Amino acid sequence: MLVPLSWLGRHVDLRGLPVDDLSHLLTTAGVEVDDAPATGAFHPDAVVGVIVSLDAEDEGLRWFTVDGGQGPVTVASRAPNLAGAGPGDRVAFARPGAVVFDPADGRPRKVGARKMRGGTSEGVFCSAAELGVGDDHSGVLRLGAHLPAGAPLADLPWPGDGPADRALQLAILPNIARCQSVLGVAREVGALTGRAVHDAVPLADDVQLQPSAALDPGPVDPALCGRFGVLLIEGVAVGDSPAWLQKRLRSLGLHPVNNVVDASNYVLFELGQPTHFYDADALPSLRLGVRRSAAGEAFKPLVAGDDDPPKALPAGLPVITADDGSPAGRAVAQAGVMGGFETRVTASTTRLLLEVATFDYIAVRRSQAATVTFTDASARYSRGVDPALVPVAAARLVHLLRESCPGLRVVGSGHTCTAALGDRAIPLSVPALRRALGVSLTAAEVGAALRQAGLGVHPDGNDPSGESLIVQVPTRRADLGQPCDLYEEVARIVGFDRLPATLPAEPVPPQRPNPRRATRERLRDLAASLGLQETISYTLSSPELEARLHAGRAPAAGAPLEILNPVSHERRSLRRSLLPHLLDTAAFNLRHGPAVHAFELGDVFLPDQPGLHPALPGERARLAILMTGPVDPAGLHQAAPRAADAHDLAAVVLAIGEHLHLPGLQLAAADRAPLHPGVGAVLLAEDGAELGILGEVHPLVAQAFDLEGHRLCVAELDVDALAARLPPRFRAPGAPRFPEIELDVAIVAEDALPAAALLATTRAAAGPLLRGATVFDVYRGKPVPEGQKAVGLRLWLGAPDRTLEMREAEALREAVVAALGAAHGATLRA
Amino acid sequence: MSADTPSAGPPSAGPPSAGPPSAGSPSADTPSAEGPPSVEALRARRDAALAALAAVHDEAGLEAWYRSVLSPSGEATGWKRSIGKVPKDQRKDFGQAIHEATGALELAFAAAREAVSAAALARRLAAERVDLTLPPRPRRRGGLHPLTLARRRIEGIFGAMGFQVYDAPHVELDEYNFQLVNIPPDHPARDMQDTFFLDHPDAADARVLRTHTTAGQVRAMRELGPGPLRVILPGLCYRNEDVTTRSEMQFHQVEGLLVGEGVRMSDLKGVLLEFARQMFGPHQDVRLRGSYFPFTEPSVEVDVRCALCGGSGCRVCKHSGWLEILGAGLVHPTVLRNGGYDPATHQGIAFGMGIERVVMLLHDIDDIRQFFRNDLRFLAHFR
Repeated sequence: MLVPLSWLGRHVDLRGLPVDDLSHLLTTAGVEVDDAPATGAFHPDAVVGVIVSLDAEDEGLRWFTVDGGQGPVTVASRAPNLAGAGPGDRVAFARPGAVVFDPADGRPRKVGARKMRGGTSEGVFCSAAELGVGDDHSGVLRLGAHLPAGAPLADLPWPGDGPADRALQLAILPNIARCQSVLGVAREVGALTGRAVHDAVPLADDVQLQPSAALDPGPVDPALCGRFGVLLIEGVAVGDSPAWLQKRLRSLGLHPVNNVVDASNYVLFELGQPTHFYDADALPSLRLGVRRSAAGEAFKPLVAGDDDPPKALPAGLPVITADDGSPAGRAVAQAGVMGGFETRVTASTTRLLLEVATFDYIAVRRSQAATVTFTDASARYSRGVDPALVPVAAARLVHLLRESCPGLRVVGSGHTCTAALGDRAIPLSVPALRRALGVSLTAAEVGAALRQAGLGVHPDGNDPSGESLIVQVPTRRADLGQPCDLYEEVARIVGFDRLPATLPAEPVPPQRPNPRRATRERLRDLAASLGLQETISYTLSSPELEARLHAGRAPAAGAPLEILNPVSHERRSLRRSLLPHLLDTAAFNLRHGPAVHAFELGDVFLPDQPGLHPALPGERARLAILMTGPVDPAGLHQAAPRAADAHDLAAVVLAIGEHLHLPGLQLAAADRAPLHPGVGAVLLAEDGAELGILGEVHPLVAQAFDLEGHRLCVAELDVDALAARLPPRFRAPGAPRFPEIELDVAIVAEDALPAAALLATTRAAAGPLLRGATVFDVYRGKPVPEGQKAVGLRLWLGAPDRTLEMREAEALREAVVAALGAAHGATLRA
Repeated sequence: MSADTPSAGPPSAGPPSAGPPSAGSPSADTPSAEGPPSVEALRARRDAALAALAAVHDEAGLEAWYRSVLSPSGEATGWKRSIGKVPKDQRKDFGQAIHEATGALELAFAAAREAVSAAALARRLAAERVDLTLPPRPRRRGGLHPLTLARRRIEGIFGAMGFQVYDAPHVELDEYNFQLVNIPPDHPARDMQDTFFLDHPDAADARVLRTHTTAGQVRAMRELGPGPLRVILPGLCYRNEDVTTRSEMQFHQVEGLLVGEGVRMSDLKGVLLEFARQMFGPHQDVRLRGSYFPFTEPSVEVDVRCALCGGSGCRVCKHSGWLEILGAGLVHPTVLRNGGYDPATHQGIAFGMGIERVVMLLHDIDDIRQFFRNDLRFLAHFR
């Protein structure tokens, strides 16, 4: 909402209150001033331009060199009154950055450097209309010869009202709907400053909104409309509005139309009350009503083109009807949003039916949303309009119209009202207010603040302490309903600076462990310590992206949850895996470097898993890891470091398990999307539960993510499953006190036999004296027979209480060899 | 030392065979071959040996010298053997001279050995010199995302004030995201947040992506109440907005909620002042401005002194010296009631801040999209 200061100043005394202070005051009180734009001659870049030379002339387009106070620049103009202009002449000049009024529609427009035929014009010469200092747009404004180049136009002595002034641009939050009018803002400034407010406006003294048999509305749905008044007005001549009114409208960024429409707009911005004029002779009857639309009901809005067909309204929108003999009446307006085409005011209109009403704000909100029609009227109705304004707006409109239509006559009225018009009383306990705010204020201070806000304040006779007040709230303050609303009002007016800063005196509640979160944070630290960079990607993904994980395989079961109103096709479903975005991240970063070693820990959304409520999906935390490219960055010391492979990934995953002290973790070969069928595994818990997958990405998946030719290793772990298995404590036995014996066993076994099986058999056979076992060599090829491999196992044996003798160790080795033979058909390598 | 090394001793004082003791012919030069030596000859031999030692500069030379002079087969050892040939009355003096000469040779040898090993060490150290100003050998380093780092700092600051983390879901019922926090259907405040819907808002159990962490307030109150409550709710929130340098479709919020019998609006100021000083510096100040949120009354925006200019005014704070970092207020009685608290006896303060905004202010980042683009070159700044 734009509020011109010249207009605001008519209703509240702004003398001695600089714009910046006023902006700050309103902003700190919750009426946010986005900007106080200076337009037209008031803009600092609207200056005196001194013509240095006329450089070229081509079919009326003249090129000048001009000094606007910042050195000579080139400016082009077609203004006819520059014929014969030459060095030393002064003109109104808007430098780039200035904001001038567009003469076509009166709206503010920013001036920039403009490329034209023959060069670039660095600014424009302005007419009086463009500067907002008059209506003349026939030529540019020529200025007196004594003025210095670059002098701000705002500083010149202007006749009359002076230059178009500055305006406050207000952001209207739902609780300050009352500030959607100049008078509302004036009252707010009065409340915050204590300055005098003049909120009386000239009214026609012969207008009374009285019920009458002839004009009273027919059926009015009280759920939709709280107050409905009409006036029948004759002797109207549609023409131009008075110049002062047109100027006011322009200062709001509105384009004047005619005296009738302009008056309605003026009242809307002055009082905050939308109104609507019908051409009384175009209505099927003068008996209006308010009801909900029927599904598909035809209605042609007044902004439609002549040949446009009527629109079909959805069911349930509030409409104004005129009795046309049918039971439901004909819809002649979309109530609170827009009037109808057939009944609109035209140049030939002489009889007007004026509608002034209040509508249910929810009904109007739904209506504007359902038809995607947002108007100045619906902006006010959808936030609530004070029903007390209805008769005021009617009398104000008649007063305004009389200025252009002296012969105007009000010949009848109709009125119905179900809205409550009296003040509401809210009891206010001053001690409770002090407690809530934590500030010491007396009852007198509280009462004074509320009176300054325009509320009535009386002591509650039932409380002799004088600490209980009864606050009378007028209908225009619909935002005040209970004591806490008054706490805010008091705080706003005395200023939030009055609040001290205190620390809570409340006891700290018992602290509860949060293992789920603790595990997540630990995993993040572990992953980072293992050389991975954390990433955070979008929760929203697409089913297509997810499907790429299954390239070369059957599609995944089920479907992700989808958003009804996505921002884009690519961000329309809730991710079920972190891997698609991590692969995208890899593709993006591999354009800039050879390696990506990254992880993300975040939630995935599984519709088939239980959530906090039957309607909610399961939200499960995942840790996804991706490794591709050199294990260490290349450099002077190592020109071509080794590229990471699946064993590097397995080391990271198993290190995480080790750090978490998860017992009995195992990898088992598995063929899972998105992994290479031969280079994939699942991570198994001691109880056999799957904790995640890891391996190399399937070549078709890599291709689907535009990563063809890259060896990518990925893992995705179920964080909640890991967290559920964390041991509450772990044993830390002392360092071994007796030496250990290292023995190697070389065997030949089936090639397909996994190392994990050999090691498991080894551990079982060696028993408690085995301190550790690993595979140190795998060899295929001659002389090992085809389909077999030679495996070197290394055992570390030791006893806790004595030095193990070599013959004991040898015996254990024999037991291991025997067990490997029995379990896997392995033989000692010759 | 090789045999052809020139003698360092004075030629006049030298014995007939003056010259370097030769490792190859130790006995050829010993005095025993020529009868009992004189003390003077002995001293001359000693000086010759010392001169030879002075020319030795390496381990091999030392070894050769030792073999020819001090070893059991060396010249000096030979002197001791020859003492029998010396007339009895001269033996004492001769023995004394041998003792002195041998002692001097041993001392000189020890010193020479030390000098040689010091020289060898110096040569080795010189040979091993490395230019550490060369680029180092790079190591793969991991790191945390700036939002994780900032979130942890925020959680730590509030944690020290007794605020515990409470987790609530991303996909939330319309009921919790809106209705229970005093935003009934069709409330104008719904216009303030562009919502991602999973169901039509009129449907039963309609679901949304939470638009604010406030959605978890009533869950926290119901689960942890009705006693004193002090929690923070960090998490991702979602808005159906165009992605620009200043706005994203997802962002992280931290909600704070403190409920109790004696909670005051001034506590909000105190808690947030404490936070601002720990997060942005000890000289921080906070400013409350009136605002509107349906779930708080009174509602305020909280500003901190601009971290970039310190309050003197700059581009980032639009020359106001203040930066808005969060919204806050006294918990609305309706929300307290929905959480199971009696608004007649209990009050609450609540606040919510965007982590992205805090990180942008701390590090002078001007494009919020950096956070989810996952360009490793950007993330590497925070390792």
